Amino acid sequence: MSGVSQEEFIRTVREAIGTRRDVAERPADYGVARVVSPDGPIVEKFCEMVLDARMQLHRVGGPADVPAAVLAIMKQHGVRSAIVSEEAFPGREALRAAMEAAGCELLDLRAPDAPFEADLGITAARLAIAETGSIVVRSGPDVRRIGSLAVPVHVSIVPRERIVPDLMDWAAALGPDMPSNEVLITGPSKTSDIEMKLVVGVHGPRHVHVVLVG
Amino acid sequence: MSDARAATVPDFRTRAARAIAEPGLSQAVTSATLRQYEGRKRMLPELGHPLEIRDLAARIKDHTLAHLDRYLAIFAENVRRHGGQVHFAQTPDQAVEIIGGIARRHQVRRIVKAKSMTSEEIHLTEHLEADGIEVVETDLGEFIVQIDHDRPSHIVTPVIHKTTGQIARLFERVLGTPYTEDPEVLTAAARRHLREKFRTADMGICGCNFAVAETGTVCIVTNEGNGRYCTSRPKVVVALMGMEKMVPSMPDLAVMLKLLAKSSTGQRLTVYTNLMSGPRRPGDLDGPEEFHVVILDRGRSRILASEFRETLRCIRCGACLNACPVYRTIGGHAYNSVYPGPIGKLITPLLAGYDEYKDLPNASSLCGACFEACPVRIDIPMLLIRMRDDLRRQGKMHWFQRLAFRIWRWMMLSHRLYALGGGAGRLWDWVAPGGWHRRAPFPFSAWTRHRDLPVMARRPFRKMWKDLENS
Amino acid sequence: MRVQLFVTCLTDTYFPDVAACVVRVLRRLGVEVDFPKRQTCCGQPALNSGCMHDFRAVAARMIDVFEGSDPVVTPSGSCCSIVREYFPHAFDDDPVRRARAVALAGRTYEFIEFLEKKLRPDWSAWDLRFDAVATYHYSCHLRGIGITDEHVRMLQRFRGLEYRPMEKMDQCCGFGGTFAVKYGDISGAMVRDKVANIRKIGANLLVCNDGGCTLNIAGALHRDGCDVRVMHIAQILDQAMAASEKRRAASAVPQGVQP
Repeated sequence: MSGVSQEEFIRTVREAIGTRRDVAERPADYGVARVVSPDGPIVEKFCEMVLDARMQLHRVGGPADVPAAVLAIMKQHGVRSAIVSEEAFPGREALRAAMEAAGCELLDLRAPDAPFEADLGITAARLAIAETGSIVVRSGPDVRRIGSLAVPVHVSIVPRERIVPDLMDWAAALGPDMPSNEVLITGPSKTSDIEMKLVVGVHGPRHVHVVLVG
Repeated sequence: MSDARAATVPDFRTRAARAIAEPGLSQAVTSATLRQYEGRKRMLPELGHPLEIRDLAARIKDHTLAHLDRYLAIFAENVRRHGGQVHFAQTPDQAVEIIGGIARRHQVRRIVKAKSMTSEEIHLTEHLEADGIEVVETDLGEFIVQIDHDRPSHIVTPVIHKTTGQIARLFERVLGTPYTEDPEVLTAAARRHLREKFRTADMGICGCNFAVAETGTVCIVTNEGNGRYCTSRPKVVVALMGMEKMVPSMPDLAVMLKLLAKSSTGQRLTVYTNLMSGPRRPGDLDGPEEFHVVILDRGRSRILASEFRETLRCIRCGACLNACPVYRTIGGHAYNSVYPGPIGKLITPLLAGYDEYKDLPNASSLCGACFEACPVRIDIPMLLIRMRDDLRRQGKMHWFQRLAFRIWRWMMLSHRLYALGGGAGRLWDWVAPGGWHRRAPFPFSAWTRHRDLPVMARRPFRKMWKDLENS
Repeated sequence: MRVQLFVTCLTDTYFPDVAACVVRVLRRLGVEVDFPKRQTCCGQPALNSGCMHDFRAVAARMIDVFEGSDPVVTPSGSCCSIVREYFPHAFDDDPVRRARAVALAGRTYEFIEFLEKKLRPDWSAWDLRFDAVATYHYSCHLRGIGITDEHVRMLQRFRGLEYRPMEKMDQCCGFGGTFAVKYGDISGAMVRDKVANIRKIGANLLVCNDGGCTLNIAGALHRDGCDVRVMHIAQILDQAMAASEKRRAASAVPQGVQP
């Protein structure tokens, strides 16, 4: 047996529901779920939450300041190789040039094991969420899924205008044309499975740096 | 397989007594659960209106369950539109066969697996291993459970019953790491071991925290990142979901996510919230070539039809376990179920049958801490009472108890008989001149084994009232 | 104002002094108290055991006994929660009785709840003193009736009373009615944990406001040879108010009369 047909499965469910179809409508108002209002200081809120989630925060004035911030991070961790995703973000070309000039080997994003070998992975956030300090990474033709996972240090470039107030804002903009993968990253990889003792950097990055641009 | 186990597994009371006697167990469990309990209480107020958001979540779930047939069809259509495949299993055997078949078709040698309680329900790993496939649990807690041939004792933090020393000895024995109680070093050893498995596995299996019907999305959350590995690197990915994991749309998912991690471990959000909608698209740099969703019934439709439908709201956060005094006292293994704790007391007998698990719905003091903690407002104490009534109506209540309450009721329907009963009790008090009973006859011997029983007051209040009335 | 006293079977049988204190405290606050003599039990033991038909019969009787419109006050939070949370749903097939159950649930209060939420007396008119190092057990059923820290705030009104919160004060003591007997080992472990926390905090008084919890914890304290006193807050209030009245009367002795 390889399971049952969809029709049979759903018929069983329909019979089980029977006439008990109360709660006919989705709740009309999700307003009570909103935590962060669009009217508030959402950039400050985002910064506060990023730090609270154990990520490091670097604020730079504009795209031209991005390379310097990244080079400082690279120096902090002794980075010698990196993978940089290829989606558009402000200052991307200048960043690559600066990294190469600093002697960093930029691995081929398409090489299967590159994320396992790189000391650093850089992606841009498609969005960032002030309520939780989360950065949203959408993989696809320009972004490797594990480019922000297998590396010990992850740098996320967050243009200020990509910050949205609340998870409800992130969700409202998503629809049936979802990409094959999108991830909300809210901190470095961690666990407390061993007697509730916190260990950072389990399978994913130990260090996450958010470079907030603008 | 469950029958064979029942023959060798001691009954619930014995298991509970052994757990209570095990040195350090209750202490370890209490310490872990208290921390998560306090974390939840600290975090939830951030939501502004935590009670209203929980009511909203409950309503979303109730609506989805009342129209689950429609949402399953919508979900399946959307998964297929993204290039994924959907399979339907009404029994554990069917689910195992589907997943085993996928593995066989691709000649899979190594599977990396993210945490899935549903997979434990169907003993998936055992079956795949019997087929000669290496199955690697990648959640650190589940990995520890696997290499120790143990079972998880909590649905979110599987090894709170183990000390660091026990884990250190285990790693020394199985992984060859030199003995150390430094959790960083132990975790690094697990990371090294598992990193290679991630790199080389040809199939990934994950569970499902939520399935979003309107977008055809499977959402899993992890703190470690193992879930992302399992679903990104291998060529074939299978997501196994209980059918009740459905939510209609993304805003519904957002409401659930706001509640889940806060209720569970007191985090604002789990570190990785991973949304998967089908296999890789043409042009994607990575991702699986095949993405399968296996939807499991296994008794959930029966629960849907029953008076216990509310239990299907459960989002498996573990908040009820963390609040439960019984769970803190006996730990998870004593329940002998994939789902321990308060919610487990309900869904275990519902999914696996009353006969083997008759004790679970009875072994609660109905304190209500679970109901208070539940992010989807499942009224566990009320449902436990209903289940006890159900057991009685199905003839599974001990005749002694039925008789006892028949007599009790007869007494309580007459204040004179009630007073007579009190008088009889006072007669017995003559054997305890010091004012306390140290021993009592069956069935009250269970009381006096652990504490004394005071004698009744010389005059009950109803007699004192005569004096009070006129003063 | 008039209220009906629902004494509860455990308080009637084991701790009648608690109910007497409730009566005296209420009277001092200007409330008249009736005691419907035909009362027996709210039905909780049967309900908890799943003997719904036995529960319904006893609950129906209680609804008859407490006929009227006066508030019903009870010193036991668990019994109050049965009336408030379970009586309204016990008669879904009997609309008349259901309406009366809902009405009764709407006017039934736990003792401190009644004082602090309904009566709201001016406590500053009383000189409340009570000497003790006290800790408090939060009885489980208070959750269901919306009572959180009212008892602790009441305790903090007494001069001379040092309040120390014990660890896990809101963790169930293990009574649970028949649970204590049916799953005695688990119940025993739970109450031993409670005793350990009481000892640890170094109190000489445990304030416990439910008959079942008191039966359980006092029994365990006695078995453990621990001499911590266990009192209901009504007893503390009664003593303190009586002492306050005495002091007031003594200081109001007219001039020229020897004290």
